[in-house]
Amino acid sequence: MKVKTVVLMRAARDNPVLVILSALAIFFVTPLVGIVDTSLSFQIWFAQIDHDLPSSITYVAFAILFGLFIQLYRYSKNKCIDCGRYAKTGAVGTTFGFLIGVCPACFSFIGFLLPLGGSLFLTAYSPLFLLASIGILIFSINKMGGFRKVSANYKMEGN
Amino acid sequence: MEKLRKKSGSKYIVGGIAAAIVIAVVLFLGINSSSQFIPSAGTTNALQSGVTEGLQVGNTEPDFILVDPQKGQITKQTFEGKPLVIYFMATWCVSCYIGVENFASYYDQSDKNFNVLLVSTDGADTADKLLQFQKVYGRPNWYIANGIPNMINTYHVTLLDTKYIIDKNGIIKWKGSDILDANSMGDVMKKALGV
Repeated sequence: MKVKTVVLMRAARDNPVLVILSALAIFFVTPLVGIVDTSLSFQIWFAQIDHDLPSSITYVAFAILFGLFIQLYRYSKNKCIDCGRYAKTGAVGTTFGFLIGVCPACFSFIGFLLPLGGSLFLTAYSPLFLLASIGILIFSINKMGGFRKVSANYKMEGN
Repeated sequence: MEKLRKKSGSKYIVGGIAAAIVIAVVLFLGINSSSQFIPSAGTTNALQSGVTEGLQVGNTEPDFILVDPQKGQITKQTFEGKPLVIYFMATWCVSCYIGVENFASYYDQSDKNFNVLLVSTDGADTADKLLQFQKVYGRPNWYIANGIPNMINTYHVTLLDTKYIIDKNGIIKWKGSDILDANSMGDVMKKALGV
C-alpha cells in the first residue's frame, strides 16, 4: 500500500531540527529583545504565557507554523518557481504576528509606535490578530505547495 | 538566473525578520534612555525659583482629580508634604503586576515615608478590579484610581509601567517606564529622593 503524506510533513521530517530551532527562535525573540529594556524580560514573558492562555496557545501555533514555513521554503526552493513570491507573503505574516505578539501594550514593540489607546486595543484583540497572521502563513504554505499530497518516500528534486 | 531569484526570495524573509528585530531593539533602546533623573539636592531651590508646571524632570507635577474607590476623591494636594510615586498600570497587565509587586517588596523594606498612587490606564478597570489588584499586588495604604481619561492625557502616558517619582514639594524627580526589580527600584528612589 502506498503511504501518502503532505509536502509540509515530508519537509519537516527532512530537517526537524530546523523546524524546532526556527519555532523556538520566533517564540523567544520577544523576551530576548526585551532583555535590552529589563532584566525581568523572561520572567514577564513566562508570566504572560501563563496568564493569557488564548493568546499563548495562538502564539505557540504561530511559532510552530513559522518553523514549518521556514523549513518548507528551504526544502522546496530549488523546485518551486513562485515560492519566492509567496515566501514574501509569509514573511509579512510573520513580521505582523511577531510585532503583535501576546500583549502589545505591555510586552511588545508596536506599542511604542502607537498611542496608549491603540496598543490597548491591539492587546484586547491580540488573539484575533495572531489568527490573521497564522492565516497568512497558512496561505503562503499552501501556495508554496505545502499541503500537496505526495507519497511518504517522495523527495523533491534538488534536495 | 532562476536560482538567483530564489536566493533573493530567501534574503527577503531573513532580511524582513531581521529588520523587524533591529527596529524593535532600536525602539527598546530609545525607550530605555527615556528614564530621567535629577539629583534630590536643589529641589527646594528649583521650587523657590518659580519652576514651571510640566512633565519634564524638574517641573512641578500637573494637577489631577481622581476617585479612589475606598478613600474617595484624591488630588495632588492630598499628597502634599510627602513624596509620591505614581504608577500607571492596568489590572490585566502582567508586566504591571510584576512591577507593582517588586515595588511593594521595596516599599516593605523602606521607611514607608512616601505615598504610592496606582493609576489604571484602562477605562474597563472597574472599582472592584482596582481594589482586587491593590489587595493582591499593592499595599492597603496605597491609593488606586482609574486615570481615564484626564490623568492619562495630562501626564501623556503612552506606555504601561510608566512611573513618576515626585518629591514632597511636588517636583518631578524621575520618570520612566522600565520594569525594575526591588533593588533597582530602591536605587532609583534613593537617587531621586534620597530615601
